[in-house]
Amino acid sequence: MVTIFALTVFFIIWRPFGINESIPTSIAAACILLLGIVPFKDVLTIFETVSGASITILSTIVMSIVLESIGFFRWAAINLALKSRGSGVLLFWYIILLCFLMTLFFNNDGSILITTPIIIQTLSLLRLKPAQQVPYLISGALVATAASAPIGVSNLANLIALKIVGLDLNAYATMMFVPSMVGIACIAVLLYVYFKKDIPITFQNHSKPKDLNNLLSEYPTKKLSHPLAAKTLGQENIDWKMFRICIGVVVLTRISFFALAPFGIPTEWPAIIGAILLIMIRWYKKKIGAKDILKKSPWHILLFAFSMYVIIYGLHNVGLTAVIVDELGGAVAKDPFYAIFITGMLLTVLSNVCNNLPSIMIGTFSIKEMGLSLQTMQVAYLANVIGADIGSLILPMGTLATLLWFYTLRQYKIPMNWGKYLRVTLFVIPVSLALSLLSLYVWTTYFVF
Amino acid sequence: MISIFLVLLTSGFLLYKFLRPPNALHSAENTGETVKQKPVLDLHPQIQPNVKPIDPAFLQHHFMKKSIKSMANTNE
Repeated sequence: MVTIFALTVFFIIWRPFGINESIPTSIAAACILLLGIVPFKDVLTIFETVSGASITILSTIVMSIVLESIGFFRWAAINLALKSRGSGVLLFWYIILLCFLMTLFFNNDGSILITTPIIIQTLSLLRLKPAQQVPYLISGALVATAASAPIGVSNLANLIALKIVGLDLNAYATMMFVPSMVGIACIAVLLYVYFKKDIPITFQNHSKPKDLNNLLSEYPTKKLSHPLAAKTLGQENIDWKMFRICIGVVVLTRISFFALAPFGIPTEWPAIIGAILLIMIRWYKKKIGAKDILKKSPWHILLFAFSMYVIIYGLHNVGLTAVIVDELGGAVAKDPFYAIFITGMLLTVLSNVCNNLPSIMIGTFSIKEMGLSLQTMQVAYLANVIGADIGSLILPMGTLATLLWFYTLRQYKIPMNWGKYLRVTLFVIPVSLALSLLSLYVWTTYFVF
Repeated sequence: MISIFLVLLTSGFLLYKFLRPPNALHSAENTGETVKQKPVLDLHPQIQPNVKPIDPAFLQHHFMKKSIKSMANTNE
């Protein structure tokens, strides 16, 4: 079982010939089911656990695909270039803010895939060389990935684990928003301190982009265009009404997750309705059908989440979680402080060794088996999330989003390697992780419970 | 719950600010015009080219007595 798990993780990270990550997980899950490690009777229960979370994330991705197809994100690069007013420091903070917001309203993987080309476009507009772009790109990627912690709906793993421990979205946000924001703020400040010398004070070649036409005339080169963009800038009329309606649908969908949770309405319903609304608006205004959505949507997410859960369930059945429970259960049960720091650190190590998606499931299974009080179990789970969303950023293989980011940089020929990445993360992540965990303890002990 | 609503509304407004087409394009909303690329020769709109057409009679008078060869020599 451990060999199957190790091979699966190896193939997810390596992805030979660019194979989809759901292929190794599906093969491993099929082997586990055929070997009887997970009985077939549990398949339906597993499907019920993962399907809601997967559909929610899938719907969010569909929303971003629809918005991308109508050129919703095409102005972001120009806006960043204009708003920074020739200041490298201002641009740094705007990029951090944009990456945070994109993850808050979409999800971490989608945010990385959308914002990385936007940042590269902005920096190319401002004529920064590829090596000068690195501080902005790393900072954006780290914040975009960590930003999936404050609300539970920005990350597939968080949503699945949320269901396992029986927390609702509002309770999650009440306990988690402040501590994870402290962690994200710490990451941003430390990144600024680390890159302060590398960030240009002003842009020499494009010190004050006064005229939008100057930017537009430089913009529509093939190199700078977004991979999913249909047309270049300035080639078609802007439908302002449609733009405002679309952003309204995105924000309302997010709000309805929290508004409908107390009535027991699962997150997938508002997510599906939001996605359908956007598809209908696009059809009404642009007369574009849903064919491209069917083609571009990552339907394999459902299979990936299901297969990964089967694998972790298999590890649980052969006694891996029992080992964790035996070794750490006593210490975790002592006090919420121990629970937070032990589970947070455990998840950091596990995520960096074998990716955060399986790790958070292993961690959550273990917590459930430890026989903790409800309060301790909930804070231990939240510490799990901090370990999986922030602690996992030390190594690139810690999260799927970071691996996607590396892949995107290679496409744009931006010089980046694991050594460069590790030097930054070792400076930024351990301190931010410790501060987040401490904030979680202080916040939940003195303000929530 | 109200706090998370406020956070999401404020964040949504900020996201709108980042993603919306820039202010310079806002005037295109009423006219329905697209943004024009900057022309290669960007003259100030009030500057008019001060060029008068040459009187054909003057040209005839000036050149009719000269041979091609002499015009070439004087670089006319």
